Amino acid sequence: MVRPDTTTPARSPLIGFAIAVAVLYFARDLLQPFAFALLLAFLLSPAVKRLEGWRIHRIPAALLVFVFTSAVFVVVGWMVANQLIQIVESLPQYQSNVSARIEVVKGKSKGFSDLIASLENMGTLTSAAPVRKDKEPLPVVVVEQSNIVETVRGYASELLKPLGTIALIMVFTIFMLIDREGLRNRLLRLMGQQKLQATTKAMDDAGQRVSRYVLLQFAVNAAFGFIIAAGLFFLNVPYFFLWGVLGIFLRFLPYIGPVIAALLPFALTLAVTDGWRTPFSVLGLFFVTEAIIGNFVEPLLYGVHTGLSAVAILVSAVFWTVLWGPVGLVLSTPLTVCLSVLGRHSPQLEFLNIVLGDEPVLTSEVIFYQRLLALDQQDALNVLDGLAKDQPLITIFDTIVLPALAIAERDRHTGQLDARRQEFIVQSINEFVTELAEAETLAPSEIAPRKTRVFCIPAHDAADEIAAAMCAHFLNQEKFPAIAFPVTESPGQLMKTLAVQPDDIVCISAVPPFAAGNARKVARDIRENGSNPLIIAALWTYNSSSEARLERLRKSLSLLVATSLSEVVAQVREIDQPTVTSPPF
Amino acid sequence: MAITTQIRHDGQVSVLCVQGRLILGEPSDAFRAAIEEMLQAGDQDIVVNFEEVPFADSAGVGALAVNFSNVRAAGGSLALVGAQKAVRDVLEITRLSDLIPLFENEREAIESLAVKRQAPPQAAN
Repeated sequence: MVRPDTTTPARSPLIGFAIAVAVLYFARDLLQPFAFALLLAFLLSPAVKRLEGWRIHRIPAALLVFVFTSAVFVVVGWMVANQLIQIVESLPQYQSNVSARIEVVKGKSKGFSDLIASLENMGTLTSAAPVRKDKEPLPVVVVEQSNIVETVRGYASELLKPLGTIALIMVFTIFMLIDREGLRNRLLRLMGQQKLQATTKAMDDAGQRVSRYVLLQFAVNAAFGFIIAAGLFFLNVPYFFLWGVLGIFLRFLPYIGPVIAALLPFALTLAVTDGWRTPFSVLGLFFVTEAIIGNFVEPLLYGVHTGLSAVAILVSAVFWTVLWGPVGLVLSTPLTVCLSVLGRHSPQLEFLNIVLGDEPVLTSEVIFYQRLLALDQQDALNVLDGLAKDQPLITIFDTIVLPALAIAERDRHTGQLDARRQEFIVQSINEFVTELAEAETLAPSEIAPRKTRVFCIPAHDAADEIAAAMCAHFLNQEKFPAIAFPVTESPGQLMKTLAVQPDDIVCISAVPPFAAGNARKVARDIRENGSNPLIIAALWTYNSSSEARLERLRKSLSLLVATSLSEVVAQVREIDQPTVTSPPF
Repeated sequence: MAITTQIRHDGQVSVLCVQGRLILGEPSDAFRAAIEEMLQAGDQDIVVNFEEVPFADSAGVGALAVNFSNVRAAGGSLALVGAQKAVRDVLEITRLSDLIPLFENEREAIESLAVKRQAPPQAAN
């Protein structure tokens, strides 16, 4: 007996997510360097490719780029460290100035006196034994005297850990630069050969977007650093170049980076200047620069280029910081970009792109349909009005109204649409079409009648009927005498009674599902009743990928086939030969 | 938006007076339903009075054409009276005016249908 599967579909992604988080957390010592290396590889691979273009082999090209980049990092790091040491060394001469400021603060704010006292005593507290004011005896803790070997081991492990991480990053980066195709091929193999196209596209996309993001952020940070350095120069703040460079690198830390970058020169100016103006000018400079870049420049650049929503960037910063600490904060955006791209090209991970991406979650036709489902006709109309500002109406009907009608029909056929909503949707779209027709009806004097009449016949039901009315409207706009018929039992009989001529066109309007089958029935009925007009089967929104199927339909019934209003109009226009203008009627 | 319809009988001929704009949706549906009811009630010769119909869109004209076809299929005749210029223009442009007899006044239309009814049936083509 087969036991029923008790795992609900909703639970599986949660379990997968929990496992992924656990792996990311427990394997962080290995994954962090890997992620850093990946980021560096994305950043440096364009330079390696450029060198390869100059006929330098891959390995020397990668090594050259890597050595050059490392050299830049070492030089800048050395300069920054050197200047910082100079600052620390010169701080004691400003001690009296700092004490005077503390006195001022003490005098002005009594409430902070304890805090200030604590600050004053901070140095003493770290060097001298604590003085306890209470009378309780001190607890005695017996600590074994560690030997020299253990002490060295402790320091070594503290020192070796970051060095080991840096070495790991360097090794990973070099190998990624040298063997980037090999790495990509392994990933392609892992994801299966049947997904070759999707995976290749995902990796190319991820590479481009992450590279773009890193370069953009570097450019923005460089601009930030330049503005800060220039501003500090005009404020006569010492070491302005150092603060600018630090600003560039600290700004890679989302949210807290600029704060740290501002606090360092602020503290220095507190120590080296007499008044309050310069320190607060420094704070103001950082605040204004960051506010402009953070609120105007970055949303404009990153919103477009990373494909992440602003909320996703914020949430990802929190998530990666909780998981990996400060390293996670630095890596949060590029890592989230990679996840979003994977979600875009992998159906199983599509939810990632929906949650993280900045693309509209719902397409316009779905929003339009969703508004109608919510029985909100005005909102649905607003969707159309919004689009009508920069698109022709026929395009809006082709891309929004007809697809929405097709979704409604699909839902109706699968029993997901109740009668009340169905009626509301049909009636609403009816009204939109009517309003459109009334607003755009040409006066008879404007019309130069064409010879070709077009009879728009619904294939099966109300949806087909509305689409037929839309079709007739747009044909009228093109000055064709077009009639939209309601659903009838025998379209063939109707065409016979109306004495349809061979130079008339019958357009069979059919909304999916079952569009082709319904259109075929109507075409047969017309032919069997002795009429022989040119027939266009308008299979609205029919998937163009079914081209072979459309071709079979064309051949089997000698029909022309169109899938949009624009196509019908174009076909009718092509068939018709405009006649000489007849007298107005 | 909706149209109103009123049925009168004049001898063997029935008169349907329509009032309102004949457009897609409810108005066209109501017009079709009225003729359908008349056919079911056994009315065969029907005069449709359009004096109070200021406008007909392509769907309204389609509904008129279907009504005309249904009446013919039931062995009857349909004539149109008092079509305003906008409606008459559409009928002419679509050349439906070649099929559906148009009259200026109701009396003429009723008499025409009555005469037609009394005339011996023409041989089938």
